[in-house]
Amino acid sequence: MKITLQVWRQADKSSAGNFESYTLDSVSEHMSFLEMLDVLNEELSVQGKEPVAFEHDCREGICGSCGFVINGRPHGPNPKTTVCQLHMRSFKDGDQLVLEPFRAAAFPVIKDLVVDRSALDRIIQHGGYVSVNTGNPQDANALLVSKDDSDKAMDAAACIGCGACVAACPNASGSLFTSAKISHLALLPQGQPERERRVVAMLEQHDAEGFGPCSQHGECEVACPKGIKLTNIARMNGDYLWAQLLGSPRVGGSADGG
Amino acid sequence: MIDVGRIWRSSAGAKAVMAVSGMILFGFTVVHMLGNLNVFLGREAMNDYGAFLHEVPDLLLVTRVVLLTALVAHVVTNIKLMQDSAKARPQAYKVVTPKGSTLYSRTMRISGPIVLTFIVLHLLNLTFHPVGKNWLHPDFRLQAGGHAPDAFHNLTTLLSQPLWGIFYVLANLGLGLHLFHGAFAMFRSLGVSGDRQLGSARMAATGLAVAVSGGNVLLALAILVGLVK
Ligand code: FES
Repeated sequence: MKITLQVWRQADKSSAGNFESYTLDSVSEHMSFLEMLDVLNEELSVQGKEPVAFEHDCREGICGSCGFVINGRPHGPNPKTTVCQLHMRSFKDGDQLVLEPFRAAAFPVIKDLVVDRSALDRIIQHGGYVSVNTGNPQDANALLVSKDDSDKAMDAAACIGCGACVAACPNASGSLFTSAKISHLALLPQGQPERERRVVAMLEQHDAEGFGPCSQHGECEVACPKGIKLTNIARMNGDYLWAQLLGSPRVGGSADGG
Repeated sequence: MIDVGRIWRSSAGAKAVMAVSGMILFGFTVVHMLGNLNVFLGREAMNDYGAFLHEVPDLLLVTRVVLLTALVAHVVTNIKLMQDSAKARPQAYKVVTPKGSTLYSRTMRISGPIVLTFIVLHLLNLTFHPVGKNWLHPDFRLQAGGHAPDAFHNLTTLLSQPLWGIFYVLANLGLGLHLFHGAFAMFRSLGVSGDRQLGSARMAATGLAVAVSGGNVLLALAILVGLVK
């Protein structure tokens, strides 16, 4: 099949980018989207041109490395699918596809379709962990977790940190990511001792990174390849308000690197 | 100590301010719409209701202060949030394909200013006495011997004018769109995260949004076409 691509090309962080058009005449419908780009890059290198930079690692939909926007949808048109798991059979012969990097002030473009998502790592550094003193592991059944909580925690923990939620959000908010990372700890007993400090520190780091506020549009939930629920954001909001209005006065700038 | 400034500066805190102020204003629109229904009961019922609201001036004043505070908080916080969100995406996408958001969530920035304009004009039309006869009201009157306005007369003479009538209908449709998204968002912004609680809270609020918008639109239409005069 024939596919026409309009790809965002940008040499580096500081240069201005622009769209370039490429046409591929014999794309197999069995190719994954990234394999199609591999073919394009092969052609570009043969012609002595700079290949299109895009990020990828596992190509199995589990690492969260890949991701760009195809015709206005992060990771492309299919629900709960990373772009590495997207196949060309999802498109038709003659399709025109516009490929853009995730657009957010907090995600500066490094090159072409590759953006710097280390802002997400810094949010994690501000509390996306539990501080456990090492020692003998306790009995596995000593901590009881209800089925409902454990399911919700596991669902939140499925976040692969790809940043599609930010890309999809009209406000470029990172609330879905941040709330997933908060929720999977907030729902479990191990997350309770640091729950208030964690939500304040992580949410304020989210804001400091330049992500926008959540208007509850719901775009993120639909774009998320792992089906992370919008209710996580509601839980984060509740926890944040609780911590600020009723919680410990020391929340925020703590000594443990948080 | 509760650090109000810090809460307001945070994205979740600012949204909570939007939710609480929005909830106050939402609640007011429900009461206001129910009060409006007196028009269908006739001149006397409407004017008695109007006089009843003016019966305890202190209560009226407190209500107005609370509402004005909520309105100012809602507008000012929204300006901050809009700036934050514009800063968060300096470069727009070439192709935008919305999928999860709703028409009313995406039009909050249009419905908001429509509602604000409506509130200002509506207050100048019917709440604060315009000086003499001016374009904001064809013939504003107080009730005979009273301090309360002749609400029935004022409302019907205003809304039977086609331009004002149509404006009131459109503005209340805008209000409906605005409340629709509000009904969806406010509970989440305040941290209601249980699927069942969220479902019922949202359903109730959506029902109220339909009632407010629908009730007001019906009333304006009834006066506009001359069913109530
Ligand atoms: S490359 Fe790992 S998720 Fe797509």
